[in-house]
Amino acid sequence: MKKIFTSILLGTLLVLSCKPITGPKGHAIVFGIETYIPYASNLSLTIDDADSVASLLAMQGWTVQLITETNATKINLDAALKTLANSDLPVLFYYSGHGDYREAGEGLKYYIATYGALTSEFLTNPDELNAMFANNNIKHGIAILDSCNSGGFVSTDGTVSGVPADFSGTFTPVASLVNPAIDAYINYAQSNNVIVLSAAGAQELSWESASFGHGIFTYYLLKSAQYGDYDGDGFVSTVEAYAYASKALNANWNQSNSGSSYLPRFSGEPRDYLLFKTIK
Amino acid sequence: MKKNMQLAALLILIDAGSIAFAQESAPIPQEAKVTLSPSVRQVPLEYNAGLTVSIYSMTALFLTKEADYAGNLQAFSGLSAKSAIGRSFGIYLESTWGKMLPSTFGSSYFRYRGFELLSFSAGPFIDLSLLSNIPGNLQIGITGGAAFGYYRESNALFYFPILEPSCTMYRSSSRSWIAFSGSLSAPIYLKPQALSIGLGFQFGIVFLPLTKESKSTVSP
Repeated sequence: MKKIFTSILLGTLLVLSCKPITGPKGHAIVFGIETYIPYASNLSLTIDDADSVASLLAMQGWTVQLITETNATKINLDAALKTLANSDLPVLFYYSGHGDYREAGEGLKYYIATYGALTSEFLTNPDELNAMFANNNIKHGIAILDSCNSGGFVSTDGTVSGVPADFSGTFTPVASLVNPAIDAYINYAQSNNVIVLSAAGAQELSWESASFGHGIFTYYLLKSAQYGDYDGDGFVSTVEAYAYASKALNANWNQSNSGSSYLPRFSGEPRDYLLFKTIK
Repeated sequence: MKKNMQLAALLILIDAGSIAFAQESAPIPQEAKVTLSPSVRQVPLEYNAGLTVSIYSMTALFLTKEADYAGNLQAFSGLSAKSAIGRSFGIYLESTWGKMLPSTFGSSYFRYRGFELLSFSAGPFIDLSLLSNIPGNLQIGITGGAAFGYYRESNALFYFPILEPSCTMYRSSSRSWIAFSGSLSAPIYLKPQALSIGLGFQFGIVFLPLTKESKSTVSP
């Protein structure tokens, strides 16, 4: 009896000593770029995307650096990450702007069009982005990218996605993924530690719409803070935000714009970060 | 004498083929002719034809850890179908469907993702009564096999090997073709990105479809 009482007491002390999580905490770098002329067409709503995401994250408890237009360069991204070197907290990079891909020796190379010009020198590719996080010893990196071809930044990391590379409304049956999944295990090599939530697949365009007032993906990402708490724990994680944005985009945008269907993608990493406290 | 009686009682639990094996190692004295008591007759596993099928639920607590990241606890709940082929030793064939819940958020504001699991495994077991004076109905075994995890939210499938040592105790019921089992197991999930080691409890119903009449006496 004495032993049972002691065990209960120790267990209670252990539970009480664990500080409960009350909300998200971390650092966010938010990029928005509208001006691309003369290198590409200008965008209309990417600054609105960045402003809204920065406001929501700041309200939620993230420390935010909002960087737009001419300041949103690859060099400034690296500089911003340097200020967060060795952080034990999550570091989130949000980007809204153009994306692109180019032929490279071993295949296609994907980019986000950080400000400057649409040449490789100014663009940022997945290897460079991952290196910026790794070189600054940032273990808990999250990248949320609302741009065309942003799926090129998503590492499947030992998993096989049932969302086809060029999504047209149908998913690959799970049974067809069995052999690729075994191959993925055999050939697994951890490529990076940054969790990526992309607006579109590697071969897909990401759209913005004046009727939404945002990029479609960012619109639903923002809404996920209100409607994305699937497990009812009071928080919206990166997986939950992805799940909400993906379902809502597919149900609302893709159903009425079948010619421009696309779907968000998510990394195969086992980690899932706290993004928002649920807005009621 | 008491020890000899125990030995005889243990031998009664073993069918004719196994008795031959036992006789070579320990001849039974004449006075070992005994009549089965009702409690011995109820022992569920020894008088079937070496095949049991069980369905059980499993609850486990896992410690999941990705290299260079903190570990965190995850709960697992699942249903399994298991077949044990063999009497005092043999093999388990097992299939499990279950769900690993996400862990709680840790100090760096991350948790490990939950996933659905379907696994197929096989491996040897042995009845502990073969090794010592521990009465029958206690088996130890280890299974290994393949599992598929599925991240439903992101439609992603992944493969990983599994390993599961277990210790199972059986309990007879009032019906000759049904018994109950309780197991402690230590499942290990060798996922591509993270390792999960668990401690689980299983409760199951064992079907003895090929039960045959038990012998009432044993002659040397």
